[in-house]
Amino acid sequence: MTAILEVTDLNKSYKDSSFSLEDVSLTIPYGSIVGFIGENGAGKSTTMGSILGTLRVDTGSIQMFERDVNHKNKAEKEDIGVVFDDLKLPKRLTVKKLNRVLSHVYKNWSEETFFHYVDFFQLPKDKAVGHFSRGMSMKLSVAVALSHQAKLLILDEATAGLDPTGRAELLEVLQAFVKDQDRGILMSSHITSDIEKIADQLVFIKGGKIRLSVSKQVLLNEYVVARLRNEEVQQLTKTHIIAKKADGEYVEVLLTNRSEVSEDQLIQNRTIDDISLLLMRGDI
Amino acid sequence: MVGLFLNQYYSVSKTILSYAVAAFVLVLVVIGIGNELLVFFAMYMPIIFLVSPAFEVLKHESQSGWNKFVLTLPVNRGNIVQSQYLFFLFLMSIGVAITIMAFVVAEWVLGSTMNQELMYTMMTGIGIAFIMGAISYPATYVFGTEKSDTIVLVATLSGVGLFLLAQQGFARLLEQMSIETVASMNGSLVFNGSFLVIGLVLFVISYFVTMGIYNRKEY
Repeated sequence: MTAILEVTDLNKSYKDSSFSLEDVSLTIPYGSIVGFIGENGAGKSTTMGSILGTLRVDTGSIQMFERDVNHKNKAEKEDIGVVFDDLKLPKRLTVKKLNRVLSHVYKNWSEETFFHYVDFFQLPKDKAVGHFSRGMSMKLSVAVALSHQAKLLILDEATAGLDPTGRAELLEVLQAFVKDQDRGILMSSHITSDIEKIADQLVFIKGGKIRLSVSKQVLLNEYVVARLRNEEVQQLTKTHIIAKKADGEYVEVLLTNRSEVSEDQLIQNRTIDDISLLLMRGDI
Repeated sequence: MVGLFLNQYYSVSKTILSYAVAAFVLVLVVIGIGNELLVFFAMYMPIIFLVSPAFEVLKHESQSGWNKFVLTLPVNRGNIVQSQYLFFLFLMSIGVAITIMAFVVAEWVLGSTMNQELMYTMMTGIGIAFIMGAISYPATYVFGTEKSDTIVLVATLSGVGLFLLAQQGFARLLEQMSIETVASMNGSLVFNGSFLVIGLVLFVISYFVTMGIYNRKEY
C-alpha cells in the first residue's frame, strides 16, 4: 500500500476565468494528514472539486484507493467523507431527518456513530440545520463525514468558524481517524496553526501551481528561513532556494539547506504561517 | 435514490401540506358555488398547485449548496435527475388524489357528482403539469435557480398556451372529419387523452435533455 490518493499533473481551466490549475500533483499516503495551504483563489477548492468530481478536469490523473478515479462509481464515493467550507446540507432538515436521509444514501451509514458525534459536538437534534451557527454547521458536516466508514476525508476549511475548543475537539477526532494507518485526510485551512498541529505532509499552492510539497518534519527541522543581503543571496546555490522575498535592503529566503547560511543569518522560531507567507508573497 | 427523494420531501413537506389543504378546501368551495367554468378550473388547480413545490426544491438545493454536496454522495448524476422527476410525479399524483377526494367529499356532503367530462378535464390538467415540468427542469439547470420563479411562470403559461393551441388544432381537425365520424367518437376523451399523452411525451424527452445538461454541470 502506497497512497490513498495520488493526483498527477492535474490541469483544469474555466471558460469564464483566466485562473487555471497547472500540473497539480499531490499524494496522500495511508495514515497521513496532508495540509493543503494557499491563499484565497490559489486553487485549493478547484483541486478538491476536481478530485471529488464536482468539477471536470481537463487533463491529469487521479488515483484513489489505488485505482483510477471513477466519479460514477458509487462504492468509491462510499469511502469518501467531505466537508466543504460552509454548510452544504439541506437547511430545512433537522439533524434527525438528515440522519434518516443519509441512512438511505450510504450503505455503511452508522446512526450510532452519527449521534455519537452529534452528542460529542453538543448539536441540537430537532432544530433545522439552517439555523445552526457556522461553528455548529461545520461540526455537523464533520459528523456526517465521519459516520459512513469513510477511508479518505477531504476537508475544505473545516476548522473555519470554530472556536478554539471546537477546533481542538475536531483536530483530536481527525488524529484518531488516521491512527490505524489505513485512512487519510486532505485538509485545507487558513488557520495554519491547525495544520501545523496535525498534518504530516504539507502542500503549498499558489496561482494554481504547487509551490512546495514537503513533509512537516523536513520543513520545520531541515529547511531554514534566513535574512540576507542581496549580494549574499547571489552566492547561494540556486537549487536550494525555495522562495525569496525582498524586505527593505534585505531578502528573506527559504532554503532547503541550513549549511548555506550562518547561525546569525537565520530567522529563529519561524512557524508554518511565516513560511507560508514567504511562499505566497515571495518568488523563486 | 430513496434518500434523495426523502430529502426533497422533507425540504418542502410543510409547503405540500399547506398547498394540499388549500387546494382541497378551494375545490370544495368551487363545487359548492356550482359555477360550471369554475368547476372545470377546479379540476386543474390542485394538480398545478401541488407540482410547484418540486421547483421550490431546486431553489432550496441551490441556496443550501446541497446541489454541490450531493455530487460527493454515493449516487450518480442520473440518480439525482431521476429522483427529481420522480418527486414531480409523486406531487402530481397527490394533486390528482386531492381533486378526486374533494369530489368524493362534495358528492357526500353536497350531492354533486364528478361526471366523465370532468374526469377528462383532469387529464388536461395533468398534461399542463407535465409541460410545466418538461420546461422547468431543463430551463432551471440552464438559466439557474435565481430565475426559477420566472421559469415556472413561463412554463405554466406555455402549458396553458399549448392547451389552447391544441384545442384550436383539434377543432380544425374535427371540421375536416365527416359528421358520422365525429358523432361516433368520444371527442372529449380523444382530445384530453391526446393532450395528456403529448404532455407525457414532452416530459419524457425533457428528462433526457435535463440529464444531458446536468451531466455537463460543474459545481
